[in-house]
Amino acid sequence: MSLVADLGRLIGGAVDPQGRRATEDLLRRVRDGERDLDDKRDLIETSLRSRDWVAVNNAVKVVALLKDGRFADALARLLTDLGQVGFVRRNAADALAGLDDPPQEALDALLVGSQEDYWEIRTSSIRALERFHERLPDLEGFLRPAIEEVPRGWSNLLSQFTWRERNFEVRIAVCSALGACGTTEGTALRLATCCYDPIWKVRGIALEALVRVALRCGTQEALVEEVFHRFDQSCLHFQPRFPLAQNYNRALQTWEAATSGEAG
Amino acid sequence: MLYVLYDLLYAEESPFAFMRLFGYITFRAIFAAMTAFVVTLIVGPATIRLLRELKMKNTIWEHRIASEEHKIGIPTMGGILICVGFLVPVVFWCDPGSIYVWLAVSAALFFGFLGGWDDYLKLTQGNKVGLTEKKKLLGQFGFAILVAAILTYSPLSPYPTELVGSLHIPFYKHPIDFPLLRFGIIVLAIAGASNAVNLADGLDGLAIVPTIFTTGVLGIFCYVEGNAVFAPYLQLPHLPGLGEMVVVCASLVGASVGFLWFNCYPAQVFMGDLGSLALGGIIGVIAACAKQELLLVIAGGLFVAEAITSLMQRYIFVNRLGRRFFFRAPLHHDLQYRGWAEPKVVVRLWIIAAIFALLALSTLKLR
Repeated sequence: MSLVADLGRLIGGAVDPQGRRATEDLLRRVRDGERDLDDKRDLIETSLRSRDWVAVNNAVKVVALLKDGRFADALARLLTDLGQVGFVRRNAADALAGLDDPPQEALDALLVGSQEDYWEIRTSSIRALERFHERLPDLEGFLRPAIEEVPRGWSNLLSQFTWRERNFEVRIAVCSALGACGTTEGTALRLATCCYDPIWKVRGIALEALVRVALRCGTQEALVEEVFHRFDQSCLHFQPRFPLAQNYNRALQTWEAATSGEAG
Repeated sequence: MLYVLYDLLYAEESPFAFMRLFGYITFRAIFAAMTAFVVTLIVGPATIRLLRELKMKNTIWEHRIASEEHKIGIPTMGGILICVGFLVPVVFWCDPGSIYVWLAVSAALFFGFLGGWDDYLKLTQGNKVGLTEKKKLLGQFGFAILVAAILTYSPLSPYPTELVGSLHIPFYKHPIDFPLLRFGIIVLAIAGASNAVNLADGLDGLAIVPTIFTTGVLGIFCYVEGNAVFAPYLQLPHLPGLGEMVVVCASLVGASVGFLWFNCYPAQVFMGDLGSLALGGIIGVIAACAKQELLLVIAGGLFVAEAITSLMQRYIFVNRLGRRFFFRAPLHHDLQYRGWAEPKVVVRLWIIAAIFALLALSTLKLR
């Protein structure tokens, strides 16, 4: 998304009222549960190539609901199209995540999307990659650098006033994906750092992911115990329904079940 | 009502000499605030019960934020409490001969009706949008134009002739005489305030406390500008009769505090558009009457921030650029989305609103 493209859209991008109406109607039908839309395939294909981003976006949402693998290439093309708007690319990543068996090109597009500047595209791509992690053996190493930088100290304080914490959604997605695919001590160490992230939503997911990774690599018991100890001091007074307390309880149950099983 | 009695019956050395108290603005303002508070407290529980029986309940879980789940089923349209709590003391304690009072009362009634209609459509007809944006804006701007016309171009204008078209700028000593510009700014102030308070009304107690601060600031300005000694001393325009607006402001503050009693976290009732549009409309009219339309941007800085974040997100980023700038808009939903607890967001925004109010007050001397 270049500045020039943004300025162009701000002044007035291409508008196709007919295409918008047609795709809105189609989207409404799909949302109402209609699935037999083979006769509309041409309309979807045309709309996916439309110059009006709203029509493209509607078509992408239709494909996401239909979970139709025949459009995987078109979705991959939209996801990697730097001239396309953020919502379209994000929805393309979400649509790819919904496919049962996307082609390798789609996975490559998701890897490109996971490096994107705009946080919503990055987050959706990483979530999609998490779903297909078994087909991506190098995913752990690929994702780990994304959580190298966590605001701490002064930068933590400043993050309250700047937009730096903007990427917390990405950190959540990365922690979750690393929890699904991580097996190394390095990942466990990075996740332990994320357990002290300024955003509690990140802390909760990171703790659950840390437990899963530590159980897989089997050498980080002391690290996990220390993180639990730190959480004990800050988390137990919360109401049980508070999401962070729920993350904590789930992680503790998983950890205790696994470690007591080992001891037995 | 009591002011009329005072007007009719008061005479020195008569048995009604004690009624001179009703002539003092400060006395009436204090008692108007207390009346508003007590009326709201008395009417509150019955109103909440009635709204619940009429099924005027919040049903929309708008932002998919987990902590908002508890809001489903809580009665809305509680703004009727604010309107009643505001109008009763105005009837009792204000001078009915003041055009300022009539403008404020008509703002409460008109915007209350507009918001109430919107709420009614949303709640009873399963219509999530309520009144269309066009109709709502048409109503707001129509009323604002009427008030602006009365204040600037009509023979009903309560201002001294030399002050009718003057525009007063915060931190700047010399007013600008430009009636058309003032007309436009009055329209924007009234319609904008009404919408801005509506946008800020998203969390328990969030809109009502900044309203209290803003009204308090405007009340102080009304008192100073209505006073023949203080106004020239502070280089503000002296507007005879504006002192009556202090009683109006006090009534609004009292009603708002009374509403806060029920609206503080976790809320028993929401004000709905009925309350938020009415509050914003009244504030806009008070600011316009006091010739402090521009000061409203500072005094209601929080409302301005809420409105700007919402407009930016919607009209620039989402509709045009196809992406988000804030996680959610307006501002309070963005903060909540980051994981701040609702009471934390609300109290911190109150603090910011108080700072804006103090900054606005500082313009009394800084000019």
